[in-house]
Amino acid sequence: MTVSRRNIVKGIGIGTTAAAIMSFDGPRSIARAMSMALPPQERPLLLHNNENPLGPGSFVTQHMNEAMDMGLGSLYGLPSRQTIQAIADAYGIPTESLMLGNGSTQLLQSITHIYTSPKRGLVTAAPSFETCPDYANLMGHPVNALPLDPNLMVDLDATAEAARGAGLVFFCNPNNPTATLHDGTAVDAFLDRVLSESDAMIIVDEAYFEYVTNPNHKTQIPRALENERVIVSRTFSKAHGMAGMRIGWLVGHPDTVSKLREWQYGGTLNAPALLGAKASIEDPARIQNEVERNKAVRAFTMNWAISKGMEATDSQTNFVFIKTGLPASAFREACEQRNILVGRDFPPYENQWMRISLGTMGEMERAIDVFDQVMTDLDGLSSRRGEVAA
Amino acid sequence: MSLSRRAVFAGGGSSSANFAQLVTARGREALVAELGPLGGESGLIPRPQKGEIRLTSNENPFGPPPQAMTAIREGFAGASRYPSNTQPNMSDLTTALADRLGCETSNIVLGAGSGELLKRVAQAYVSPERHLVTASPTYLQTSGVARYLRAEVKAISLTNDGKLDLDAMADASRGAGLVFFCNPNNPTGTVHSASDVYEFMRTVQRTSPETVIHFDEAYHEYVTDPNYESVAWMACEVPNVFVSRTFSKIFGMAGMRVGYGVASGPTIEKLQSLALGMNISVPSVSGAHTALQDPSYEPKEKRRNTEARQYTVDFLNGLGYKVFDSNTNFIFANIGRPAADFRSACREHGVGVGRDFPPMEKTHARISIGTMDEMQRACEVFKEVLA
Repeated sequence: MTVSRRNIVKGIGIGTTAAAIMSFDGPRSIARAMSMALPPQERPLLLHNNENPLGPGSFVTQHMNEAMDMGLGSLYGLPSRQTIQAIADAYGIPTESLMLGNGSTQLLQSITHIYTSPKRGLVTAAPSFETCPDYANLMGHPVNALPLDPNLMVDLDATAEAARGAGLVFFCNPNNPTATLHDGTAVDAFLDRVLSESDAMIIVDEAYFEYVTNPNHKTQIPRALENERVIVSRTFSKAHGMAGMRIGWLVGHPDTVSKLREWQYGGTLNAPALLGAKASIEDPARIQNEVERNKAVRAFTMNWAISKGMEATDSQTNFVFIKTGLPASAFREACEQRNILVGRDFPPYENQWMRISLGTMGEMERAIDVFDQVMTDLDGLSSRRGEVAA
Repeated sequence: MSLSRRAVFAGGGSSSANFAQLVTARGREALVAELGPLGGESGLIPRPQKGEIRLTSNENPFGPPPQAMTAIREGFAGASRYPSNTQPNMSDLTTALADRLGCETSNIVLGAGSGELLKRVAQAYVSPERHLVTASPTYLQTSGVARYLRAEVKAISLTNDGKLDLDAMADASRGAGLVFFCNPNNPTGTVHSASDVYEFMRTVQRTSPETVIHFDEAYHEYVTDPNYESVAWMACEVPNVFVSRTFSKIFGMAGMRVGYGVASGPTIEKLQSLALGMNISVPSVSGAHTALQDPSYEPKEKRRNTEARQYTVDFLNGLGYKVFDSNTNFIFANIGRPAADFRSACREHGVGVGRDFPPMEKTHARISIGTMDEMQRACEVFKEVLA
């Protein structure tokens, strides 16, 4: 069983949730993927968790090592303040509007804790990132998960309708797992409507925002700064390549942020993550390179899909969502047998759609050969079955 | 200003108990963001200054074991992968802990420091209807969360020997959601024997069977009292007992944020579901996993601490100051004057000592144990400022 950033728990009860989280063991191939004993071409490709295949690079690693050189690995009194200041400087955000978390997971949990209740539930999309609905389910707070529209985009009209009487709206933009983005005009109109027609909080999760190339995109950070009902969450796990360091951040009105701070336990971030994140923020050229690199790999992968006559959403992220026409489970298992891990099931699309995270160009060239083999094998299997049935 | 594991004031500042409790409820990051302008105060980062001796926060003066430090640095290579996708991963760390404790992996929950678990335990078991029983003074995080949740907090004063008043705590436990039992206790350093602990557990389970008892064994590895034993094995067997441990103390990894909890299956499931799913960073998993591999490390580090502690206790006793019987990497001394005065005087001589611990801040100071060399130099400073 694999666990994505968006841990797989479909939050039915404590038992299920715990069981799912506790079975952390990924497929055995993960250990082999990390095994330095194998030559690179024989190591499994990890295209299942939307990670950055290049990692944070030497500049960030150097600063993480410096944190250790300074002795911070053994000390309390972590350098959060420096990290917050670096984000504040880079984005022009007052420090009192910023808050850090153990990945964006901790931030999303805290937000759900504060802004949902047994009477005021959560509105989200399905499929979308699950941390908020998982936590709301755990607390026994109602969850209204709305289907995507026919273009596999978050249904903004339905979401705005459902926001009336809700405590919190979760809006993932671009959306995971469908990779789709709503542009600035659409998001502005949506937020205007939710803010005027309801009194729900809105969290805009911009985890993949750095990867967006649609020229009409627009961050909601400016609105979060001034409106106490809007929060924007970001992460160092994606374009910054630091998923393993566990650090994310949010922007909100100072009143909102202090309310969240009263609840959230602040001691969850480690010292090298804090100094590494600071270094990463202070090196925007690297992020720009990463975005360009990802863009090229994404175009290559999308071209492959289209050349095979498959539908794919307009990906604005470091993963693609492709209609293979095959059950995700069959595709996934066949890929794993050929040393490639790809995305999990995303109901209600699990019978035909597949999420594939983007690796390096070389990795995707290797992956596409495997995907072609897998599809030929599985297609052959299903058409043979079809003949028998006929 | 520096902060302890327990996210509390280390040097100067407010001595208000309420404020300290508020601080612990909010945690370190809140403090960082809320106390004064950002960027203006470099003192927050505890870069050890040359010649400065830091005895404020019960940290390990040597840091992580060398092999663990190497593993942490090597772990940076996996920084872009989730801690489920690396080797070792979180599951490997859980297995290593279960092997060490002789329990099942289903008896272990990992936390981003034991602090995350302390918070989750309070969240899970304390409510306006189900009060908290704790001691005073003891580690404050649990009572901070309880107050946030608008639960009643029954904080029972310590006995004269700096130990928890177990009879009074057991009496107060009827109908409680949670009992917080810090053993050894911070800030007094005192430990309760196994027989005392088991009798307490029997009493509470008889008179208030629904009450959960949380034993915080953060300093377990430093205990020298032969009558002590961990209740981790029992936590696996019986319901409603939770034990927390940490890599922040003997393993010297406070800045890496790794803790763990031990309990029976259903309790672990409940806390696992509340805990952050992927809460331990890749290098931290790597460091902690490696630290568990060397059986010779702990006895050595414990012996070193015991010697430096004994030296310090003997020195203070020689000056006529009483010290509670410490089983930890810190001591709580009756210096007969306000801790704040002692602290600022020591600070002037380049020695940092612990914060105020109300209601004992007028007479007692907490001093963490550094290296033998540091303690020899610090003791000369203590002699001078106490003279």
